[in-house]
Amino acid sequence: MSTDLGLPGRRSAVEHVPATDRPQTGKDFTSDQEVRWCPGCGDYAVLKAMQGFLPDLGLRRENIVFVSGIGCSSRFPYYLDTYGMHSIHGRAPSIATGIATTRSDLSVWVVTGDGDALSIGGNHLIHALRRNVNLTILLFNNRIYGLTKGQYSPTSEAGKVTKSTPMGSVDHPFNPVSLALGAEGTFVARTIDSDRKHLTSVLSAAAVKGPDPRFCNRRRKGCRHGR
Amino acid sequence: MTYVIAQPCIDVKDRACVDECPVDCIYEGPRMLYIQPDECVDCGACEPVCPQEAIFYEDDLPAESFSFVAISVDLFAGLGSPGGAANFGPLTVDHPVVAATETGQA
Repeated sequence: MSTDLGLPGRRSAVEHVPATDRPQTGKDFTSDQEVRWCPGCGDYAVLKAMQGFLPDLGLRRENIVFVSGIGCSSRFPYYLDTYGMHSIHGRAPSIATGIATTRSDLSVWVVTGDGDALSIGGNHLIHALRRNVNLTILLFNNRIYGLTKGQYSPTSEAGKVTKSTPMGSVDHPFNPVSLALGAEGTFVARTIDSDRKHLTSVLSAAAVKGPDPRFCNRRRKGCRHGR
Repeated sequence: MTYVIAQPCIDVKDRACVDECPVDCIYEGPRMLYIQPDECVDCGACEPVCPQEAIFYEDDLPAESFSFVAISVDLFAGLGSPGGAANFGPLTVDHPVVAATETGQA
């Protein structure tokens, strides 16, 4: 037996987020922090695409929040002039769940990487997805632990040779999109850093679709630790 | 902010940067290469591979190269953002200032 909980149906994810009353540009979303990733890293392209896309979303900057865990990708909130939190390893989806459920007037984003989301925070990720929280998860998947100088990650291909797996990794990798679909995330998309047009279209679709958790698996082309 | 290619590239065009650029934003003119300032994501991959040391972060440009910021902006003001140098192909003309630079002057 089950009962109708009276939960809202599908509406725009930013329905309760106040729109800005003045035009914005990418510069409005650029913080004063020096961006520090390895030269050529795909994270730069994602950051630039995000700074280019947020003005189009047309929300007040003070009503946007980026929550990250630990890792290279998790430096993201430093570089955006919005609210943000560089939080606990793997636990960004949980903190974002708290923010999103108590403040419906915020556009809540989680920025995470393959290690942070799929290994350290594997359970937090799948439960955030199944709980149907109004948040968007961006998973930067470079298939390696870059910040700690290159150990194999949950998405590294079998046989990956790193300093910690000199004979090749024996683990079978996660497919992040399958994982998100398995947890019943209702908007799941994959894109690539080097295709700015496609990347922006996915960010745009992910930002407004439904009240359900959205999951973007961003395949990163360039990571010096993954080459 | 963006990376900028300056006068040491003129009549050299090594193209090492073109291979390195992850977003394909370095366009080839008849005499030098140009970074599209809106397409550049500031990742810095190009700067260390240039054998001419012609590439600078905008804030780090030497005084004699300041003009190359305006040269890049001017050049692409007409072209817009082509979205990738490989598909766009080489540019047919240089910026007038570059075209007028005498060989060996740089």
